[in-house]
Amino acid sequence: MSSPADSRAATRRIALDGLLVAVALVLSIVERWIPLELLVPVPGIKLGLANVATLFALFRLPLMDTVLLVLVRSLLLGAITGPTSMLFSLTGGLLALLAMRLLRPLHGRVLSLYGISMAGAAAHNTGQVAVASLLLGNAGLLSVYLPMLLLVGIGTGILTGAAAIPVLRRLRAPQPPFPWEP
Amino acid sequence: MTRRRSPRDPADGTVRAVSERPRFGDALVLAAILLAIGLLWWSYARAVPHGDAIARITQNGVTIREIVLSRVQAPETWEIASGEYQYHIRIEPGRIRFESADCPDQVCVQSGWMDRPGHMAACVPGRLLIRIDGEGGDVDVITR
Repeated sequence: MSSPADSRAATRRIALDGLLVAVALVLSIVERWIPLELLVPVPGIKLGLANVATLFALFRLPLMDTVLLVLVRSLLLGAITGPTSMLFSLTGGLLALLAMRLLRPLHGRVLSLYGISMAGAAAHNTGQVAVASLLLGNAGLLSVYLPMLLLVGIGTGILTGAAAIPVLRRLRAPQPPFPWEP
Repeated sequence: MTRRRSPRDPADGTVRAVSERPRFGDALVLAAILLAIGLLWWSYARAVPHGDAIARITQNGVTIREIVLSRVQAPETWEIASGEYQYHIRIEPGRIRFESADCPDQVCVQSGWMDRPGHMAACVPGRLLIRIDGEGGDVDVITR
């Protein structure tokens, strides 16, 4: 961390992480204005647009930056929307990241971004309903509400996957040398 | 400008590699999700209680009011505070719903009317839940 090149790369990394947090946060807020439940009658459904930022980070940045992206976005979103939304976003976001990170090595031959994004959406929904069940003290919610969310999640997962493809195609990662790479 | 590349992860850093088309693994992911949906629906259908519809209103997991919906004579709007929020619960002969709430997400209100055993609506921020059970049915099958 002593040479000017190192510190320039570190600055670039911090700036890019901050930018991604801002983009993810704006997407999370904007999607709350989209009355998706008018189109699909399942209360509380969201497009999950912030997943586009997560997908970008997952394929272009170190894992630590992606984890931080999800954590910071959830905390800031919670400051705006309240503690319950924050718990949903935190649990769902981290589970989605875990699922997509585990599937990432299969990307290319076996899986496309559509499949990875669908799995992320399903993991997100599962985490959300699990938190809701715990908070309400009622596991029945899992079998009543989760199937509907999972069904919708197939569609929204494909949509966010499709949205991430041009983003990944057009935006390169920061150029080397990276201080975080050997 | 060559980037670190791995043949197993062609999307890593290259522009060319992100020409996406669906792969067979996507179908497997889809099948796994559909299977989960089917299993959850099956477990739900199996556990739905039969009999007269009883609305149970629970707060923080504790039942605070039970209403046999078929015996409701006059419509009523029940005002209740839970957590930081105020709720109007509308009770009519045979059915019940969250009529209005000042919670942020409005999921409970959007859930609409409930009239059959198995129906459920919840406000997670206020820890308030309405679920319809069946009189005489084995309720605990689907609750913790």
